[in-house]
Amino acid sequence: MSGYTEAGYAIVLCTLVSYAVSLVTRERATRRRLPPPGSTGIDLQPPRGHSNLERP
Amino acid sequence: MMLRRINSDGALRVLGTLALLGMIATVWLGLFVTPNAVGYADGTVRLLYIHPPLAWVMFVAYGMATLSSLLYLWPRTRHPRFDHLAGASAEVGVVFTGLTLVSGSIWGRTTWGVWWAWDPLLTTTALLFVLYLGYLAIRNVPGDPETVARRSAVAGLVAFLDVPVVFFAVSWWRSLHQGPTVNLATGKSYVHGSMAWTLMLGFVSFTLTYIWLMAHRYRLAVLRDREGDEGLEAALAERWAEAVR
Amino acid sequence: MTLDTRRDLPLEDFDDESPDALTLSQAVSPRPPRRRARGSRSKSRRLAVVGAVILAAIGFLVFKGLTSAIVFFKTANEAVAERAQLGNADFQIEGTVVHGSVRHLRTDVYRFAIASSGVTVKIENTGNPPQMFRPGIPVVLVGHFVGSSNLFASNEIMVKHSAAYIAAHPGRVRASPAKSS
Repeated sequence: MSGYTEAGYAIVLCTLVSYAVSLVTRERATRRRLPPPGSTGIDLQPPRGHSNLERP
Repeated sequence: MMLRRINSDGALRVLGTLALLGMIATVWLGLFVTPNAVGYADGTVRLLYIHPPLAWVMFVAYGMATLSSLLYLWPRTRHPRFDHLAGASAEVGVVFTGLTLVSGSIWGRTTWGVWWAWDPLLTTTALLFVLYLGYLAIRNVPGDPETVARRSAVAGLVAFLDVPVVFFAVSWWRSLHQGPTVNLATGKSYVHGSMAWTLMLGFVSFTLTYIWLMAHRYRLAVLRDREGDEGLEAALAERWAEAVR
Repeated sequence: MTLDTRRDLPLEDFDDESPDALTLSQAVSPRPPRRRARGSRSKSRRLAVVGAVILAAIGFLVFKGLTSAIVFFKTANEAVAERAQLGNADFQIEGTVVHGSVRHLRTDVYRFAIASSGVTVKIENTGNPPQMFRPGIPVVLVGHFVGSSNLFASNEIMVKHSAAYIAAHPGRVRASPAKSS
């Protein structure tokens, strides 16, 4: 059917993937700019998985 | 709180993996395994497995944003986390509304024969998209954090007024669009066999994807907030030093 | 209400030219740090433009909703009943394609009839019908009545379909048409 349906799938999947990637990269970049967590008392879960990013 | 548990790295990773696997399975079943439907030209029924799930997530996301806005406005539950949650859910909702409109437009072209019609459902959904874009713009208007949050929560409630209109548009007015694929009141649908299972899987995977995206957007908002606070402290310290000198 | 929320925003605060006022406002009020304040004037202008575009879009869509979407189509029997008032104005008409009525006149001219609540309207459509077009299904047509007759000249066919999805059996040569809601 001249590819309309497949194009629809492609647009939806590409948009979702790029949005997800942009969220993760923006989150990493913000984390890198911040000092180690715990000092400000804001209720964010300690980012255990990324703790190696914050230590130089 | 459940919110905090979902927000941990491990839980998010498990959720993300499940969402991804579900999406892959939905696309594979939807594009290659499920049969053609009676009356549909070759393959044109296949948008069935993603278009209703996208629309469903749109409703869930705006419902979540509205609930969070209410919790922020309610004095006893007022907390910045609900402001972040509302913003996160609405942003994901806007992405899904855009995709609902695009996938619907393509499906309309292949079945109805037109890309667009000024039909009640389509028109109110387009309005919903623009209303929430406006909500996101209002979130970006600078000001004192608490004022911004309160103003955003009110704007969020105003934007939500269109959600029930979209939901009932098909039953209130004459529409080109067919009725709901799954009747939420009775749980009934007229989708048969493997098509029904694939559609069900689509609903589950898109919902999981929504939760994953929203949780990440929420974490980003909390981090940005913390960054802003620290930037402010640094700026104030700098000014103080200048003044003393 | 959206308008009101926007009107009392302190956007002008950021356009203050005086360096003293800027320093004072930054030191006193909990504003974002300096590096953001520098870009704030272009940011507020951008927001104003975005706001104007969004308000225009909201206005346009509300207008479309009130004019086209509330009554998206008239059924064939309603259109015949209101024949005098409708004149030769453009509108959307809806009905089920009558079995055995479809004739291919010329290259892209089709004649058929649609029916609703027992009233039949003859259609002359210019343009190729969509793939799903066939007798027995409801369609919405865009066009107008011709002269003083009850012939409806359309230039666009929109095919309605129900929310029933039944697997087609490839073995069967002719599948029964889908039920319309």
